[in-house]
Order: sequence, then C-alpha cells, then structure tokens
Amino acid sequence: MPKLLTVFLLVCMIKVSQAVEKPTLSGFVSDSETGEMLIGATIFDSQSGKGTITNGYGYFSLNLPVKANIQLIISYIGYQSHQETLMLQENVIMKFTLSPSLELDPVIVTDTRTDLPEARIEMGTIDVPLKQLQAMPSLGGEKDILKALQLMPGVKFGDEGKSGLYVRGGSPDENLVLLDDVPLYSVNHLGGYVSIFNTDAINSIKMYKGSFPANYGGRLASVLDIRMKDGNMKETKGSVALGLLTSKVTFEGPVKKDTSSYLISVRRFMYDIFMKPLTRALTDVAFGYTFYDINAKYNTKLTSKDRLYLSFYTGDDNLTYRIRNKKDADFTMRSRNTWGNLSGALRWNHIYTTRLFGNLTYSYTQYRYLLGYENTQTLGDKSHESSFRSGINDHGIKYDWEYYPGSKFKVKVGIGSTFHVFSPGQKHQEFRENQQTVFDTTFNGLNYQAWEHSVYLLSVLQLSPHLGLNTGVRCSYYTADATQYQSAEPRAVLNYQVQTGLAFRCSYSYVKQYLHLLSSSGLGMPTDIWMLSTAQLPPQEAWQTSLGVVKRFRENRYELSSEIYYTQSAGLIDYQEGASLLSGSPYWQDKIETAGEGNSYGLEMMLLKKEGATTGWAGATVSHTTREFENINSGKPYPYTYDRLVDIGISIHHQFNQRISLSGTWVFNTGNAFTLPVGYHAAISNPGSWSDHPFQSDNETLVEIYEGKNTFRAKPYHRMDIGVDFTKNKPRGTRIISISIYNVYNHLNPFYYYSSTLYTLDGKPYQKVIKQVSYFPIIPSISYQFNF
Amino acid sequence: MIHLNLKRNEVNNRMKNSCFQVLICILFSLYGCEKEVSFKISTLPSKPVINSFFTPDSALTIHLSKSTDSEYREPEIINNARIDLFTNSVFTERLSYLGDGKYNTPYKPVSGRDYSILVTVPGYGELTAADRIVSQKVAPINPTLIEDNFIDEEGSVLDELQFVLPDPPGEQNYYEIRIIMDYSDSTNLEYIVPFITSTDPSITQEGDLYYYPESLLFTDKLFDGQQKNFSIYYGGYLCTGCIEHPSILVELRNVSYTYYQYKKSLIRHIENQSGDIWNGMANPIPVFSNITNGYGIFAAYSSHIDTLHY
Repeated sequence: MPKLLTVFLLVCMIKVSQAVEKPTLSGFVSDSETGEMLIGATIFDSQSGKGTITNGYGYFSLNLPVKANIQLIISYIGYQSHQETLMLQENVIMKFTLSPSLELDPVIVTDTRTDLPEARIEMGTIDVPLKQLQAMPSLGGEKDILKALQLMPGVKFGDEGKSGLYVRGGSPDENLVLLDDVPLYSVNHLGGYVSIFNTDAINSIKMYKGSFPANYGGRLASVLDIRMKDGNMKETKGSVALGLLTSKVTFEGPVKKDTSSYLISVRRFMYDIFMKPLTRALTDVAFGYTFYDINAKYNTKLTSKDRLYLSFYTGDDNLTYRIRNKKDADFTMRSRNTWGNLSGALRWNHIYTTRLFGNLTYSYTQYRYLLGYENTQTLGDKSHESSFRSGINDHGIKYDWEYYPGSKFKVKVGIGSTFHVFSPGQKHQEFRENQQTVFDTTFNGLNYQAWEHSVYLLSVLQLSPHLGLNTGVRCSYYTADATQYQSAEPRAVLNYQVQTGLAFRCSYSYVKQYLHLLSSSGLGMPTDIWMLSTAQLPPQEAWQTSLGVVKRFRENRYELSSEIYYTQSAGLIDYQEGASLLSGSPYWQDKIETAGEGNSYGLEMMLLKKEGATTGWAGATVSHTTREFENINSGKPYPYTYDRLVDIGISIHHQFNQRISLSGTWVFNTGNAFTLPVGYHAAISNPGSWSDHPFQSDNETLVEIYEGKNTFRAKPYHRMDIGVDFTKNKPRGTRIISISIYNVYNHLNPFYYYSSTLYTLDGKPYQKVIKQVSYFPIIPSISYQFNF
Repeated sequence: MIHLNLKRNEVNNRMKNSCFQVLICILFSLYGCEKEVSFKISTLPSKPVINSFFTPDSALTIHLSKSTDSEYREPEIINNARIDLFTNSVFTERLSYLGDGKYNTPYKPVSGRDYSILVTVPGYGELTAADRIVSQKVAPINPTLIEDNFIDEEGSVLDELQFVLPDPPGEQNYYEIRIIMDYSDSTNLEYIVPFITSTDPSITQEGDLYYYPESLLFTDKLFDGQQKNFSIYYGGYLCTGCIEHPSILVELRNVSYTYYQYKKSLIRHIENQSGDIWNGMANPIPVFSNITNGYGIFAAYSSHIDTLHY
C-alpha cells in the first residue's frame, strides 16, 4: 500500500510539473440570451485533443500548448456549438456565450466533448438535462423533478404519487438534497405528493447514487445537487402559470445589465382561497390548507475575478381549522399545523489565478414544524393550549478550492463546519381557569447541539489516454456535548476506456451520517423527526462498491450504461413496533430501535438519448434490499418495504415542431414487500368480555397470525402517462398550454391491502378476504403558462 | 355531564377526523377503487388456541379453540381436551368441559402463587402455559371524581378521577385502570367509558393513548414504592334517557407482566392491521403469546373496584 501511494504521488507530481509550464485558458460559459451560467458545458481543443467542462458556477480552466493554433469548440446540450481559433501565449480569462439551438435535430459533434460517457471518471451519476426532466407528463400537471428522477435506474419511488426517493436501498433521509449548496431537510409538500422544487427557478440538477465525490458527505445513499437560476443578466423576463394544483409567477432580470441580476419565483397552492369560506358557510368548521414556495436569488460580478451570490428559499405547508359553535358562541377552537423550510446562502466566487478557483459559502437552513395542535378553546372560564414542535437550525460555512494544474489533472480541496441545533420534539400543555394557569408543562424541551467539521481532498487524474482515476478522502469530526465521533471516508472511481465509445469502471466509497430521521411513513410527512447522533445513538455508516460499463453508439446519439452495486449500512434506526411520533413517551429515545443493519445489491441498466428531436431514456433495475433490527421480526432480516425486484422506467419526448411536443412515460415494477395474515385465532380483549360464541363478535377479538415481516409482495405496478405541450408565440411573449393524462389506461395499482371479513345475511362472519385499495385512476390535467 | 359529553363528542369526532380531512378531500377525487384480490398463501396448519384471564377468588375458566387458515373457515371449538392445572408446579385440578369450548374448575386461584396448565388435545399434542398472580392487591386511596375538570389537547371537556396509588416497594408492578358508568338504576346498563386519558408521565410513556384505549396500562417504573397521586380524565357516551349522574365504577387491576405484554401488543395489533393513503401498506404487529405449541394467552390479574358518585 505505501508503495502504491508513493507511485501515485509521483505520477501526480510529474503531471503537475508538466502542466505548470503551459499557459492556461480559463473563464466562463454562459447563455447568450440570459447570461445564465452553463454548468457542465464542454470546452475542447480539437488540435491538442484536450478539453474540460465547466463547474457548478460555469467556470473552467484548461492548459493548452504554447503558441499553438488552438481550435476551440465550446458546446452544450440544447445549444449551438461555438468554434473559435486563437493563439495562446499567456494565461487568459475569457467568456464564451452559447445560443440556444433552434434546430430540432442538431448535428451531433462527435468526439469533441470531454463529457463523453466513456471519458467521465465518475459512477452512479444521473445527469439528464433539466429540460428533459421538465418535459415529462406529471400528476395534476405539476412538473416535479423528484418524480422524474424516480424513473431512473437505482432510484425507486415509495408509494404512488409521492416524491420520496429510495436510492440503492437507502431511505429518503439518506439523500443529501442541496439547493444552491444548502442542505434541505424536508423536500415535500402535501404529504409527499408535490416536491418543494419549483422548476421555474431551477437551472440544473445532478444526482449521485452512491460513490459520490469527497466534496460531498454527511449522507449515506445519494446526493442531489440542485442549482437555482441566477437570473437574466440581459433583460427583464417573466412568466405566469396556472395549473390545477398550483399557480406560479416568476420574474428575473438585470439589476445592472451584464453585471448583476435577480430572480424571484413564487408558487402557491390555491385551493384554500375558496375552501375556507365554503366550509365556514356549510359547517361550524372552517378548514384551510395551502402550501407555497418562494425562491429568490441575487448575483453580482464584483470584479472580473469576483462574484457574489445570495440565494434564498422558503416554503411552508399550512393546515388551519377553526371550530365555532354557532349555538354556543363562547365555544371556539383554533388550530394550526405548519411545517416547512427556510434557507439561504451567501457565496463568493474568486478566481485567484487562472488555475485556482475558490468558493466561500455561508449557509443557513431551518426546518420547523408545529404539529398537531396549537389550539385555544374557551368554554366558560376554562381554556387549553397544547403544541408539539420540532425543528432544526443549521449554520454552515465552507471554503472550496479547485486547482487545475493541467488538462488531465484537477484537484479539489475544501474545509467546512456546520453547527446543528435540533429540537426533536417538544410537547407543551397549558390549562387555564379563571385567568389563572392551572397546569403549564413542557416535555422534552431540550435542544441538541452539535458541531460537524469536515475537510476533504479529491483529485481527478487522467493517468493515461485510457485510464482515469478519481480519488478522494473526506475526514469529519463530530462533537455533541461529551460525545465525539470521527471518520475518514475514502472514495475512489477508476475508469478504463477500452476504446472510443466504450469504458469499464469501478468504485468504492465509505460514508458516515451523523443525522437520523425517525420516520413513521418515510414520505417526508411532518410526523418525521430528525435527530442528531448522541452517545446512545451512534452515527449511521455505509460502504458501497460498484462495477460498471458504458457504451455509446450511433454517432454519440445513444448511451448505454450498466452498473452492479453492493452496499451495506449500519447504525440505522426505526420506531419500535407499534410506536410512533405522538404515541407514548414524549422522549423519542424511549421508542426507537437502534443499531439496525441494511443490505442492498442490484443491477442497473440505462439507455439514454439526450439530443435530437426525440429524446428520452429507458432504465431497468433488478435489486434486493433488506433490513435487520434486533427487536423487529424476531431479529431476523426482512425485505425492506420498498424492496422491489424489478423496476422499469421509460420516458420519451418528441418535438414535432416549434409548436407541438409530445411526451410519455411508462413505469413498471414488481410489488412492494408487505405483511399479510396467514391465519386467525380468537382472542380475549378484556377479562369478562368473552361472549358465548367468540367468533360471532367483531374483529377486535380476532387475532391475525403472521409468518414474518414483509413476506408478501404486492401485485405488479404499472402506469403510463402522456402529455402534450402547445407552444405559440404571441406579440408579447410565448404561451404554453400543457395537457397531460396520468395513468392513461387507468390501471388500478395497489396502494395498500387489508384483510376484510365477509358476513352472511344474518351478520355472521364466514370468510376473510384480502382487499386491495387503489388510488390515482386516470387523471387528466391542464395548465397554462405565459412567458414574457 | 351529559350535555358536556355531547359537546365533547361533537368536538372530539370533528377533531379526530379533521386533522387531515382537508387533504383527504383534495385527494378524494384521486380514489380509484377497492377490490378483492387473491394471494398465494400457504395453508397454515391449525393449532390449538388457549384464552384465559384468571384472578383470585374467581373460578378459573379456559376457552379452547383452533386457529383457522387465511380464508377463515368456521373455527372449531375443542371439546375433547384434557386440561390439568398446577399450582407452584404441583398438580391441583383437572378442568371440566362446560360446552362452547369452555373448561373450568371450582378451584379459585390465590394471590402470590404460580399457576401453570398442561393441555392435551388429541391430534395436536401438549400445550403449556404459566403465569403468576401478584402477591399484593393494591387498592387506590381516596378516589375522588371531579366533574368537567379537564380539557384535553383536542379540546374535549372531561371529568377527572383523582386517587393515590400506594405502590408496594421492591418489585416491578403492572397496573390497569378502567372506568365503568353504571346506569343500572335507570336502564340496567353499564358502559366502559370509551375515552380515558392522563397527562401523567407514567401513563403517557406507555404509548397507548394514541390508540384511544378503553383502559390504561402502566408500570411503577417511575414511582416504585411511593404513594403516587394520579389524575385520570375520561368522557362518556351520551346515554339517552339515562340519569344524569350514574354510579362510576373504578377498577384498578394489578396485572402480571404476561397480561401487560399481551394487552399492549393486542391494541397495537388491532390498530395497525390496515394501511392508509398517508402510510401506504400497513406494518402489522404480532400479538404476544405465552402458549407453547399454540396460540393465545393464559394471564393473571387481581382486581379492586370502587363505586363512586358525583
């Protein structure tokens, strides 16, 4: 091992010494119409065969031969390629702009991209253009990038219609979701049916399914890196959208042309506007439910080498009701139930030299919920208030540097700290009588505080024309009260390019997670609470190894990839059997199972077409995931609830012309794991309650017998959705009408099963049957959008 | 009280249903259907089922039946079993068959003794079970009723029962309390109050209130050997035509650990059998059993009942 390390360092030094003598071309690539930075754009010199891609801020750095005639090709999917010839004698910072492609089937520039699939030194990534994800038909017409990702191999959805992501056997809390570098803890509205991400405010999205680079950490299963739009640098633009679920309005434009810009986008669920008055008029009870999201961003170029970004997001779900007894006017009750996120980030980009790019980020994220009741009731001279609160406040600061010694070598290094303050669940009760407090108690009012420090180093090295190595290590130190945990997390991806268009790769990663989610649903419901690691609750950890192959063909139009993976996790938690957030002890420690273990392995395949009039992908996953807890299922391993042997997702989008596009998806999977009774027996529910014939009593005295947890499989799930967009240019802008149909052939998929009793005419039970409950039949929807 | 209970029921029903009612209304239009489906379920071999709660000074009765398969054929009563009762491992009695699956003995169990049974069912072999009646029967001190003295977190107006529980020191004790409204003066009816709750940590930490139990189970883990003050809150049915203030029967049971485990698992078992639109598939929980080679329960308790009036 020491010898290997020595050789590796030697190679690195040689590469660096070779590279530093060459001049460097660096700069930014942006959209010519909006000034929006293009993330992942390719800069390629056809003469030397060297190239690179832009980072998350649209920045690139490329070492090129001195005084050579450089034929530069800058390209990006969905944009017209730009060619430029130049002589490079010294380090230069340049800005390139690309124009959106107007052609439906642009000429494919072959072998001029350094992001060719076989050249990428990474594994388990999902890097599909946002426009392609946005084009997919959706439930209720609400474009949802999380639901789009659920169709990718290795990513499973939980229950139908919901946005939860289960990546390679992991649960939703094991996904690091970053919005402009700020981690978010709750990414769903409406009980998981709508994600918080307003597609009008999103610029790019990239997902790592395990094997993620060392600059990411703190979660076991995946990283979802979402970047908001910066805002139009050229002119003020806007859009208004009306859908069946939400309405949206977005404005963006320059504060100072080509120097600074803003973006603000607001989305709101509108039903409460008429729901409240309607319920108030018809009953004594006034209901209201809504959710909203506000995305805002400001960015400015301070100098040619400095840029400042200020990002902001807030969103909440609000459920309110008020009861007023009209006959007894002194009786009223109000209740509010709210949960959501508030986050912000201040980032400073600085180009130290043409080869060194730095980014300093301060971030704040807050997740809060007030769950259950905060009601005030007055009956005569008595009143009562109660509440259940939980929340998270994170302050984070990190500094990342990217160093480009050569076109074949890149180093990233960073340091960061996060201060966590968690309130896992505070119950408060207060009773008053005659204006005097009779009872006022708060349970579990403690806040938990912790520091999480990290430092990482990663290098991407092209060892030879065929061999690339992406290695890194992330070290973290966690401290909470008197408890400390440390971790050194190695990551490595090796890419071997056998020939043009074909590569094999393998990876290994180890990750640690100091946060835990105690979830009763796994769906991002407000009844899920987050907790920090403590002495009694050690961190979760996982390692994953994977092996893959990628092949492109037909002039780079198609990309076929396949990966197999195996992952093992430990330190998982879950509720004790029958426990839940609001039940039992106010102290969450009393009702959890700890030290759980998980195993998952699978095969993933994907055929992807990113360019042309017809785009889309077909993905398939064959996998198996288990969980094991000492006190669940008698300590035996059991299939994870969302363990499905086969998942298939197909998405196709076709642009007929500038006015009409059609999209469709089809999803198939074998059923979720669940538990069914295999028999029944009579039982006493209470001494003295035994009837003469116990079987004539109701189900409360009938006990179900199980053979184990999750031993049955639900019926296969399949569904097809289609959508069509009609686009028309108007004098003042562009109008888009989107019509979509969810579950076109109305297949009634299983949502859950239960055991039901059939009775004879004289009320005697004679048979038990299993009933399947289905939701989401065929659902058409329409939305209207106007861009100006 | 009846007036307030009516109000309580109105409020409570609304509150219970309203938490996510709005969301359910929105999603109602998404409801597809409910249909019968079949699964390949291997036929579960039938096993004998024993059901018995026994208490001091009452004749011991055991019910015997057979478990059924997943299609729930008419369960069979076992009428040809031999049941031997042992006290502190010494043979005591053989139970007689009464009919309808019931077996009993005139022997009355005694506090502080271990009881076990050996059940022989032709074709099924032998079943065994054992439990112990706690040695000391605990009676509440100064039980008192206070009308309309509590508003719970859902806004329901409840009556209050106060009492002192003198917990014997040095042993783990398990208790159950339930309240019965006795309308026998007017209608000859008794009701177990359908809603009983408490804010006492000894009870809230049990995790049962979430299920709206008809009785409260708790342990002396937090007050071992102390004289513990308790406040229990309860609401009742609207009893049309009943007297306004019925007699209130307060029953405090000293239960065995077996009894405690069984009833806690039973309530969770019943409440977790079906899924819903928020949680998807259910996560069923098996019921605790202390029967070897069979199903069911053989558990002991002792009981003290106070009759109170407003």
